[in-house]
Amino acid sequence: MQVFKVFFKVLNKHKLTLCIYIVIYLMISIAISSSTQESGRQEFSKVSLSIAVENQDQGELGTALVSYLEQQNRIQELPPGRQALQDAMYYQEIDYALVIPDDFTERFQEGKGEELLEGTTVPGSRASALIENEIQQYLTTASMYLAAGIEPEYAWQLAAEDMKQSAQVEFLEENDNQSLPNGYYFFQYIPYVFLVLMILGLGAVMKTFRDKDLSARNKCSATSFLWQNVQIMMGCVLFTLGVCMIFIVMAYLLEGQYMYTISGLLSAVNALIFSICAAGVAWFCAQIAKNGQELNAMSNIFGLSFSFLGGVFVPLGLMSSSVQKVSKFIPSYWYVVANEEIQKIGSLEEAGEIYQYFGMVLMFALAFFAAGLLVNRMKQRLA
Amino acid sequence: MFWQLYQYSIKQTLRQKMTMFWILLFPIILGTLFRVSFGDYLDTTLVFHQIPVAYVAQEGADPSFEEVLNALEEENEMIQMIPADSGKAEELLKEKKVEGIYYNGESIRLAVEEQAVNESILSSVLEQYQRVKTTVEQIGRENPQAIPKALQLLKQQPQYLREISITDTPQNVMTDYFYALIAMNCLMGVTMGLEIVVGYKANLSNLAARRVSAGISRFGMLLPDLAAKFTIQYLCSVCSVCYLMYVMKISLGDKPGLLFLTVLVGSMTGIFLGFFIGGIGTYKKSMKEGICVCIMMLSSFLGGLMVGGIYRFLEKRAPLINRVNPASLMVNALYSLNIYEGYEKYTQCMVSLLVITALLGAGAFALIRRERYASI
Repeated sequence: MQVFKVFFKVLNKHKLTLCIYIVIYLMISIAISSSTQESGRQEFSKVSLSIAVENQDQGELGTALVSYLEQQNRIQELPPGRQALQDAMYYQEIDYALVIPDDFTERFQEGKGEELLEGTTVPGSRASALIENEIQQYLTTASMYLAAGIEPEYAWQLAAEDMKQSAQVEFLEENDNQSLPNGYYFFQYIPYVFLVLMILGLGAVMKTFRDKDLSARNKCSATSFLWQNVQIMMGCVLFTLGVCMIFIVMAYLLEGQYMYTISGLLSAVNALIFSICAAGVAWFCAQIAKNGQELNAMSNIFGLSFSFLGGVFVPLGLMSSSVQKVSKFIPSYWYVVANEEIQKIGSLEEAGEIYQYFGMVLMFALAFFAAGLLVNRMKQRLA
Repeated sequence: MFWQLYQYSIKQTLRQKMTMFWILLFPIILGTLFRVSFGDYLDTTLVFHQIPVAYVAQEGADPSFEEVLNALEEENEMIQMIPADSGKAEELLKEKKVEGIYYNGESIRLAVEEQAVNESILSSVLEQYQRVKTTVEQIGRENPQAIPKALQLLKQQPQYLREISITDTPQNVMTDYFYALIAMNCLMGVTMGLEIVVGYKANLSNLAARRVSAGISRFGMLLPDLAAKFTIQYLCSVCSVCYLMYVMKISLGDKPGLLFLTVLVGSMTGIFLGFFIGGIGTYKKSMKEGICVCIMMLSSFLGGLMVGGIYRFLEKRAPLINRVNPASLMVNALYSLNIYEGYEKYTQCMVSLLVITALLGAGAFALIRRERYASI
């Protein structure tokens, strides 16, 4: 088993790079899972937005308006200066800025309230549409009471009372409102790290064996060509399983509770299947790359493009529909879709579609192995 | 002599395929991936579109609610109503073709799939309807004669708000990723800067050892090399910026002149950073390469290439990093150019960047000047 041993000796030379990726992944997934600890929502409540308010009004309507807005939204002070406001709005820390002038109550009572409030928004934003609608509603109701001859202060109070009416809103399915478990996030980013690890690890070893002089020397050795290749194959399988095991064990340590559910089991299978596909990609890369530098470039190209286009880094929902159509030609897309579906099921009987997604990823693995073989054959013919 | 060496250096660099890949192709690939992944972010998540909603009329439906919805669809263009039976409506909601379902029966209900801004707007529409009903009933109790007057007001819909837009240019927080990408592209010059030193210090390459024994001044060989690498770095960065602006149609502001000036200074910073790192000590080339890539990636990370909004986070917790990190300075310069009316902040960033570049350059020259090798 010399070849098998050499396989791991070569791999040992690349251990630093591989370890760095594993450690960085671990750190990032811990950071992500600690930052996404949301509690599940039980009832629908409208989104709470951030409104910066400067209330200069000397009457009472301004205060009444602010306390109405406060029931649903977060009210904060207006940042000093235009640049600070621009910064805060750009980074979406403030959704809306409202300035209430000092003579607001007075002029509103005279029926000259139109365009008195100054609202600063990001043009065309949905959040501002919601806030503007709320402000309009309150003030229209108040003006209706005024028009009906009701005393101003009582009118503000009645308007606020009416605003307490809330709509009957329910979720279509009970589990729609549940947030995703941390295990989901742990497995979400696996395609990137698997692709990089496989291309840099497996690719580098196979590259070494394919070195012209070395392979010529190996071909005239006493060990048969088939036995050599079987040993390399075994090395590849062991490495792939090893990488997969490291991540599954990491998942057990970090998200133990999740891993003991059906979803956890299926996630582990999903990762295992994707690791086979990543090994296929690595095999393909090893055939076309000329040296280690090119392999490094390829690990970036395949790792990043499969992750971005497949919806690993950026949720698929954010992409336009035409991009999503292209995404279907990328194995990580099916991994991501499977990972999403896995969170929704309660038992293995419901997992019919998920097996189809697994099948898609395996098909891609086969396609990459085949493409690698083709390149290999063509190179041999040309040589 | 200068031009001859300059030409050679340009040819030599252009033939280094991997270098060209990293400084020209990689940013273009990454830019394309950014564009397809979240180029439509603004449109899909922030911009207001008519909200599609299914409408299911059941027994005992309130006809005036349907009228209100029709008005909202036709006059305000707020929602897009799709009448359906309840099975079809649920199907539409699951397929995400509609954002919610209004059931108009004994009572009026709204069903949704998630809790977000659009769903809140739909719930707000329903609330508004019920609130107006309550208000009219209340007025009926207090002063019934005033109902027509109040309803008149409701019809007029006086606008109490005067809307002010925060900037003239479209805002998209995702543009920050593209700024960071441009910054990374400029900083990729570190590998070029390092190449210059490798060709200059006799302990790093055979070429440099040969050059030491040449008849002309070593400084005379250094300058053309520096100029050539800088030219290529700048041109490659400009290419990828143009690609982002004109092919990927990403709005990077309406001041292309100043944008390219920022890229010019950024490229210079990148080259001198590599030049400086290369000049330190007698470590091997591979070690120095590792340090260069680490510093470049760390700088880009802090500039917001991997995690958006990190600039804002650092500004609150550790503002000093934003003042000295080249990538953050570039990102902030480009941001100020796009967002603010004045040039005050832009100038501040550019001056800081120039000072850093000058310090790096001066440091590098101080490190490599008067180096002599023993003749053995």
